[in-house]
Amino acid sequence: MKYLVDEQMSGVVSQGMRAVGARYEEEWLHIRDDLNRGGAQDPEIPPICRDQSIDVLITMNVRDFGARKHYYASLIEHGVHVVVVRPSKLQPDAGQQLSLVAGAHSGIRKLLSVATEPSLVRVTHSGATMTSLQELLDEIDGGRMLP
Amino acid sequence: MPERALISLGEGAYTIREACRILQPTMTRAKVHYWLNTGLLSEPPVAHRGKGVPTLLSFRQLLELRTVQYMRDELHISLPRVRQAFEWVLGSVFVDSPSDVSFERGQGGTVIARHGDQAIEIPTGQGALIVDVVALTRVAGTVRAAWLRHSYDIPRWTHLVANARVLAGTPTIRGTRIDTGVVAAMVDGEGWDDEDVADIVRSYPQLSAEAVRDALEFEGRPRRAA
Repeated sequence: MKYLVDEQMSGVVSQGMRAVGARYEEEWLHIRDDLNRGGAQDPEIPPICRDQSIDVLITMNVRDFGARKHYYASLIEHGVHVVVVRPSKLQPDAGQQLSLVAGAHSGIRKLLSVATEPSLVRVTHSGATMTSLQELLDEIDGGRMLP
Repeated sequence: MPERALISLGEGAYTIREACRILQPTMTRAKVHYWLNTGLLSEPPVAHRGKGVPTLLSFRQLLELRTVQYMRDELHISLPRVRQAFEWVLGSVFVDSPSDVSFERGQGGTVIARHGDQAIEIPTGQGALIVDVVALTRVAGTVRAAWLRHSYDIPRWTHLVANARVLAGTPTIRGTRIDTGVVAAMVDGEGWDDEDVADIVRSYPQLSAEAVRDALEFEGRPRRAA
């Protein structure tokens, strides 16, 4: 599995996760530090992922998650798993970001291993949960709220 | 997959709260709701559908809000009296034609708005203050420029933008995909100081200390007294 860490997250995350993911033959890249695509616009993300054979985009969200669902759904529609790290009330400095991702890593791997299509994975301090695109679209439409 | 009306990548989507944050300090939710409900703004891509489904505004509506805000707060133009004319103005600012919108003084205290070969006379209302047509032309030009580049420069904070094509338009530090919310989350509620700024820059070396300070001030994080 190949992961792309978005720019809201520190390069420390991709550096640290290379060590964690090495045993699983994972590749971890940072959009700025490794691909020199800091400031890339949203429509560029899918072709970046395609060109680099990225399976998973890791991004961070601290508020207005409801407004971002359309954005995440659009990314998923383009064929990329999206992992959203939601640090809640803790100060998500670089160390905390890495700790969150590393702590949820096995859960993320497990969820993505059974995903039959690109999906959204939400990571909080409680762990990781997965939402399919269809479920996410239902949420956007005001349907059942998923954990 | 059933047909869905998703907001596409690059379109921008704003909660009302976020729009007010971008247009601080004078924009309020009450104003936005009033202008939406009375049809002054164009239709939102997502209208309120109940609990858990926020109204989402488009990038265009963010700029419409900015235009109306400027006219009301700085030019003191009475919108109820000139509503129809300003709907035309707003519509002209957002077309993709090369012509700019300009304003000039007409006879009898009216204002003439021109767009390409079209013109409309705007009554300024009884007893209304004199409209600064130069200022009006300038703000229309600024809003059009933002519309055409899909990015709004947030006033007072030179390092911050709301770019519809970056993180769906949430305020970010110019040239990056780092949103101001993330920067603000790095400091605790007690406030920040230069050491906190330095810590953030160490985690994000692409950021300048000035950009970090802009983000923290924009987000309303208090500066810790020395």
